[in-house]
Order: sequence, then structure tokens, then C-alpha cells
Amino acid sequence: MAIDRRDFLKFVVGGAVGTVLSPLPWVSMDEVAKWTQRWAPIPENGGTSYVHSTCKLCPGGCGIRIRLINQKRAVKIDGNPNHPVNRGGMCPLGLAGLQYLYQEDIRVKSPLKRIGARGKGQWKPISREEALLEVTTRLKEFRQKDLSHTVAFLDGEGEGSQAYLAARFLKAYGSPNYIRPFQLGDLEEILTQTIHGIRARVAYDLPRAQYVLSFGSALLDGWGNPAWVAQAFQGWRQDHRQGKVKLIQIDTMATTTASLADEWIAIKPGTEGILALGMAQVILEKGWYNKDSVRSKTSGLDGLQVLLNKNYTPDQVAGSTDVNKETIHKLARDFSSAQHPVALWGKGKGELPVSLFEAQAVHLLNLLAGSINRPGGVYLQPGVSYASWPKMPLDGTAQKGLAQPRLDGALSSNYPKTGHLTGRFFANAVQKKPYPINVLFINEANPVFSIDEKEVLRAIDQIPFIVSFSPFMDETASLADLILPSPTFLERWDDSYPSLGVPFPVYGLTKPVLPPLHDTLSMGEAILHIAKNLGGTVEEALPFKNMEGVLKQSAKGLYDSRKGRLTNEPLAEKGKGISASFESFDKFWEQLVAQGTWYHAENRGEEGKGRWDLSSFIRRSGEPETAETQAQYPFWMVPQSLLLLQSGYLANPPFLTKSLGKETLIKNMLVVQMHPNTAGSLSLREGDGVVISSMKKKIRARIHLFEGARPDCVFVPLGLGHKAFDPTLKNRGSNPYPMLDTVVDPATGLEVGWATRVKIKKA
Amino acid sequence: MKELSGGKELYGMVIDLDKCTGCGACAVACMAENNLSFREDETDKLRTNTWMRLYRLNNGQHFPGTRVAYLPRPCMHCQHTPCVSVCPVNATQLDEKGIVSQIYPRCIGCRYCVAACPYHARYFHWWDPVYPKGLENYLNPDVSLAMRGVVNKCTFCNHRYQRAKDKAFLEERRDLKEGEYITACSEACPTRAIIFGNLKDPNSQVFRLSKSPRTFRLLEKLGSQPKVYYLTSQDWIRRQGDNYLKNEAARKVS
Repeated sequence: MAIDRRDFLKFVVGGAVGTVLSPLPWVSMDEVAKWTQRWAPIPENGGTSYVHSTCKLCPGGCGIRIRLINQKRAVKIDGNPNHPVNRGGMCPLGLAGLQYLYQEDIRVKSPLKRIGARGKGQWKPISREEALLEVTTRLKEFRQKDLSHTVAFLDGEGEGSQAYLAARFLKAYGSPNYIRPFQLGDLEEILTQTIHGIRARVAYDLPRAQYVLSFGSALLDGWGNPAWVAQAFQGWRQDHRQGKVKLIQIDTMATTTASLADEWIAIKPGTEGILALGMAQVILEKGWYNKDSVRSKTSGLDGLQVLLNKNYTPDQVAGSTDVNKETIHKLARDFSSAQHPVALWGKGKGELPVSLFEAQAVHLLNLLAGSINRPGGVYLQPGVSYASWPKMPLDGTAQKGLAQPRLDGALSSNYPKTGHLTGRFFANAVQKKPYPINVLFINEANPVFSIDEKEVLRAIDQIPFIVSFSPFMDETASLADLILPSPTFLERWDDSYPSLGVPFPVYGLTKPVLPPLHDTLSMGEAILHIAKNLGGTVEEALPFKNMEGVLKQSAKGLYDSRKGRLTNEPLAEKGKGISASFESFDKFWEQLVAQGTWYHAENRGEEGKGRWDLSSFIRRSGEPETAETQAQYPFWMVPQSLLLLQSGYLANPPFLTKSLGKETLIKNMLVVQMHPNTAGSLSLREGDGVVISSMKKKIRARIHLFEGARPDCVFVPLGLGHKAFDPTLKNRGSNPYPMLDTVVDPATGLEVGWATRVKIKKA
Repeated sequence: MKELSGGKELYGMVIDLDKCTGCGACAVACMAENNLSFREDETDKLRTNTWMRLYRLNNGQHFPGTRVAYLPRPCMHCQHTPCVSVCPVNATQLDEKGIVSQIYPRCIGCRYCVAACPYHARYFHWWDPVYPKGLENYLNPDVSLAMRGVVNKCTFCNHRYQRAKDKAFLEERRDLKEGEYITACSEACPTRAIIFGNLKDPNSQVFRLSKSPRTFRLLEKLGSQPKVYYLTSQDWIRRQGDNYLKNEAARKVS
């Protein structure tokens, strides 16, 4: 049959009419509309409840209130308004805490055993029992071979009952190698031991201080306990105190703190300690010091004065710090004539050690002003343990193991006062000096990111068995042999004490606010299981069924002290403590679990032993030297601490990364800040790519011109350049940690490094 | 201020820039409370969605005279609203308690309001809202999510007002007490720089602070009558808050 023109037209027209009359176009339009509109998810609704707990994201111990939907879905973290530390305020990290809980890309969901080569990321999920058995088998083996000392534990939590448990386990097992990454508290203990004869933490009574002199501490960018400092700051800026409280910031750049301070003293990087001694010289020479306090409590004043008059006259100090004579004079006068003056040390957030010289120099100002253990001053707080645990039995193997020297050389004849030397631990592990490490446990630490990467990687190569307790697949966990993931702080029993930088005792209880999302086991629980499997004296040393039992033991100490009160209690009458309000420990525990925090708001400071020794300044004033490489490396690279950028063990959560400005990160490039004139001299413009090289490493970055930068410096934010974690953070920016030029402080053995010599080239 | 209604409530905010440390707690609290979504690259600040945005200001002087300051910018909830008057579909309205609302299902995505807002406080969803895997779990059930193709913005946490009102109703009260209804940013601020409350209540903190000699409002000369007041003792910050002629003096702090 032939199709003529007419038939063809009929078919086309008929087809068109038919299609239009059929439901097809309407259905397909509807489908397309639905298909292109993806409606936003509707969050599950239900009954709201609030649970109190304690934030564990930093040692600050802020009280938090978690909003739950149907008692199983956490939707928001807020501050607890009755908490003595944060009073309802929160730092951005704490507010973003749920992102650590829920973000699936970063969590380790079950115990994992490595099957491929290290770092290849090939894992086999195994059961908890298998994982614990594997650890126990190894530990048993080394104990039998009298090699218990070759087991080491790197614990970034470092404080609280869980850390106490880990340290005790290692001791009972027979290893001296319980090591903590650096925290400012380590240096505080060395400082107080050299001067006051006791090992204590230094807590500043910031709320009552009236003249705060900060030597480079990023007070408003995460130094110490951010929520506590923020509470103090808002107090200083209240209308009725306006003008009565002075904040003086000594800094190399117009940082947040420098800008919001009443005065900013611009200084040459790394010379803060010299400036402090220059001030001390003026104070002593003019007789402006607190004579009663200094004469009755200190010794060695004359010797100190001789030293200062020789090396730290205002002329000499002005020459080395770039702070002029008049300013030094004025600072000395203002500091010594102020009511409640206090001087702070610890650069940036305090994540990197400063030299003991610098800490002592600044502390000297507090001594001279008579601010020790006084309201608005510095309180010396000896370490507290609320746990009155039974005496620990040690068997022969343990005693033999503990007689071995620590691998990091801390508490040895070279560095008798230093508790932990993480950097040296890894260096010695590489050289197997004096012995190799066979097992390394890592909890809440990410040394591959935050210490010199190369050295840590070499050390990790030498250690045959690494167990990580990290809840997240961080850079270090990804190199482990076995990961026994911990739950996050919202899913486990834990506690937080002492509250960092708070001059009175605070005990925060952390409890599981929702059932664990993944197959996890907290570090403390894992240790208890392992101890049970090992049996003998190790098991006897840890006579607890679970972490809740451990915490109860600590809480018992609080209850028995018959002091303090819980957060949500109405103000107790004077003299009435908790024992007055709770008839039994069980009632107390029940309320502690419900309210989250116990505290005793009475500032306490320890006087120390004997007279405070000022002569120790003379003996130990060795200031680490930096190599004279000025011609080759004409700039200083100064690390920059930001509250919105986590630089330690925790990686930045998406909320914080989202809030970073263009002066920190652009696309995948780290941004560094530089003075426009400096950039001009290098023919650089805003946004140009540069290569910054120190003697150790180089990184790529883009520059941001900032008039507030010291012209011979380049300011590099710490915390970017992760090779792990979620897509909002992974492979963004560069990590300046491995670039830092560190020098071993002869007084402490700590690797001190802040400003580093660099050269800058256009990329 | 122009009286729009005879009601007893007119909500507003005071942000003390002398106390603001730029910590970002307000921005994070806002994102967490209001279910803001994410993009892979959040450094492109023209596209990222931040109802509470933190600006870093700088006095422009050279080292060592430089000072920076931070300015958190929520929606100004203007009393004379540039955005409401251009909306062709009534998707955004100024309600009787002073909040500029945004109703997503009504919004047709024409973005007139985005263009009209002098504060860049309005955001348009060019994409479906996405969250890094697993983060849908913390979404707040009180806040509906803005879908693709609609404009969204700070609501002064209007859902918290509803919650507070419900609670008051159950307790047989008509009026809210001070502090019963506050925004997430103001609740989280660790230095108490952000104060929120009823501007019509002469006993409230915002009422008192909004009359302070240190106040200024952003782009006040436009006559949009924002209900977000800023406090500062620095003239250079005040100058950056509005357009001044070269030789025109900013109002000094008395």
C-alpha cells in the first residue's frame, strides 16, 4: 500500500490531536514537575526534652543542655544558664558539637582491623570481643617476655577520671610510658615547681582582675577556656565597670584581642619574655613592687635585681623588642599601680609551648605585684583527683617494667620537672632509644597532623602495633592497625575536671544523652575489659564494672568533701554544703547525673613550699636561640590562632569552616595575611598565590593584604590542611605545623616554636 | 519609630560591638537552630547561606594603629520594609510584633526582595538544601526547611515566639515575660553582646539600650527604620555603618 501525501498529513494531524487529547502530556508535565522539585526533608517531630551534661570538646568543662526529640534525636546544644563557667554562653565549637556526633563521613562505625598495607585504608570490621582479644593477646605476650615497658599510651584527654584510669592501667601493667601531648598545664607545673616548690596549675581570676596584661595570649580567640574568658570579658565591658578594667594586649598583629583591648603594644615576635623582664627591672628599680608580699614571701630578690640591671634595662629591652622606652616605663607603672593586676602568658591558644624563660618572666610580674593567690590575680591550684581509689598492687613484672626509663626522657635527670615530652617520644621511637616501642595506644590525639609529620610517620613505621581509640577516621587513626572507636561525648560516661583556667574546683559529669549510634566502646570501658582479660594485679588495680562505676568513685570524693553544690540547686546558705542537702550518696549521685555539674565557688590557691624562689630565674634563664638565617629567610611566619578554626586533635566541624572569612580560606587555598607594603615590595597583590618556605618545609597559599600586620611578618592560620575528615575540610588549605622551626628549651626539653623564619615567593 | 500597630509587642535587638569578639557563636547557633544547609565550597560568600553573617571591619589605619571589629548582621527587621513592598505574592510580611516573615510556599522565587534589601540579609536557594551525610539527624522540627527556588532569611527565631506563647497560654498568661522569647544567637552569645527583647516594654533591656548614646543603625539614612540597633564607642565603626559625605561628621558619642 502506497502512502500518499494526504495519508501522511492525516496521520501527523491525527497523531498530534490524539496526543493532546490523551492524558500523556499532562501526566508527563506533572511527572517532570515532581521530578525536578525535590522537596526539603521534613524533620521528625515529637516530644521535646532537655538533658544536662558537660561538654568534652575542650578541657573547659562547660555545662551544656541538649535538646532531644523523642528522647533519641539530639537537635541542639545550648549552654546551661546555671553553670558557673559558661553561664549559658557557648563557644562556637560547643554549639557545633552535634556535627561530631552525626556526621557519618568522619565517624568510625565499628572496630576495624587493618588488612592492607598501612595507610591504604583497607579495613575489616570486626566484633568488639575480637578486637579486645587481639589487644589482650599482644599485651599478655609482652608481659610474659618482660617487655611490658615497650607498651606506650598517648592520651590527649590527659585529665579526668578516664585519663586517670588509663594512666593507672599502664602503671599496673608495668609501663612508664603514659604520655600526654603538650598542654599549657604542663608548663604551668614546671613553672610553679621552679618558683613555688609545688606542682600546680595556674588559674587566673579574670572576672575580678582590673588590669589584664596579656603577653600574646589570644584571649578572645580561644586561649584557655573560651567561655570562661568571654564571661570575664563581658564583665569588664559592663557599663558600671567601663574604664575601670584595662586589657592590654602585647601582640604582633591587630588580632581580635589586640583590637578589642584598651591598648595594643606592638612587639617583635618572640620577645615577650624580654619585655616582661624589662618591666620588672623598672618596677624593682623604682621600688614599685608590692614590698610586703615580696619581702615576706620571696627569696633571691637581690640576685635577680643584679641580673635585670645588667641585661634588661629599658634601653636594652627597647632595642630587642621594638617597644620604646617610654612604653616600657608606662606599662611598668600602670601594672604596678593598678588594683588587681594580672599578667598572662602562653601565646595563641596555648597549643604550642613557650620557653620556660618567657613563662617565668611574665609570672615574675605577678609575683612583684603581689597577685599570687589574691582576688583578681593568679591562683596556684595543685592537681586534684577526686577519686579515692584503693591502693594499687604491683607485681614483679610491673615493678621491673616501671624501673625502665621513660622513652620520652621526661622526669629523668635531664628534665626532672617536665612531665611529658611527646616530640621526644616520637624521635626516640624512631631510633629505638633506649628500647623499641611494640604497642602504642592513641586516644584523642592526632600527632600526624599536629607535630612534625615526617618524624611521627617514621616513628609509626617502627611501631608494630598501634591501637587507636579515635571516634573519627583522622590522619593518625588511618595509620593504626586496630581502631577501637570511642563514642562521642554525647554517647558515653565521662567527666571533666579540673575546668581549665577556672580558679575554683568544678567537676563536670558527662553522660550518654542518647544511645550510641555505632558499634563503639569508650576508651575507659575498653581498658576495663582489657584489664579483666589480663587478670592478676592489673585487674585488681581497676576494680570497676564499668565507667559509670569509675565516675561514682570520683563523685564519692565530692560527696565526702561535704562542700560545694550542684548547678541547678538554689543558692545554698552559707556554710551549708552538699552533705546538708543530700541524705545519702545515692541521692547525690542521682542529682549529679541529672544536673551535670558540681562546683565549689571559693577560690583556692596553694601557698607553695617555703619562700618563692626568685633566684631560679637566674639559673634557668636560658632563652632558646634561633639561628641567624635572616638574610636567606627575611620574614617571620607567625601562627595565628582562631576560635573558628580548631588546631588541635579535633578537626573543624562544617559549621565553623563555613564561618571562616576570606582572610583564612578561599576555595581550597590557605590564605595568609601580610602588610600591603610588604606585599608591594614582593610585587604581590591581593589574592596572589605564594610559596612560603621555612627551613623545614614549604606550603602554598594566597595572600590577603591587611594593614594591621607587622610588616616583616606573614600570619598563617593553624588548623587547615587536613588529609582526612569530611569534604568541607579534607584537602583544604595547608598545614603549617610541619613548617615550624622548633628549638629544644634547655630548661624543659619542650620543643618551643612560634615565629619561624621564612621566605616568600610568588607562585 | 513609626507605629504600625497598637500592640504591646515590638521585637528588636541590640548588638554591642564593644563586647562582640567575633567568636561566631551567634552564626553557628543560628545555623543549628534554623536548619541552614551546606554547600561543598562555603568560601564563596556570595552563595553561602548565613542568616547571621559576621563581617570583619577594619579602621584602615596602618600597623600599629590598626583595629578590627566584628559586626554580626541578622535581618534588620525594618519597620519601613524595602522588601515587603516589592513582593508580588505576599510571601513576606511585617507582622504586628515587628517581625518580617518569609513564607516559603508562597514564594515564587522572583528575588525582587533580595534586590531590594539594602543589607544583603536575604538568601535565595538556587539548589536543593543538602547536608553532609548524617547531619539531617539534628534538624530542628520547629523550623521548616527552605526548598529550592525560594528566598529565606532570619526570622528572629519566630518559632521560639510561638513556643513561648504556647507556654504562656498553658500558664494562663497573655503576655510574655522578658527573656521568655529570645533568639538562638542572643541565647548563645558568650559575651552577652546580643540582647533581644520587646522594644515597647520600657522596663526591658533592649528598650534601655536602644536609647543609649552609643547606638547607631545600619544605613539609617535610607529611612528603613531597622529594629536592630548597634552600640559602639568607636566613631570609625559608626562611619562604616552608613554613607557619609567626605566632610560630613558622624554623630558623635556624647
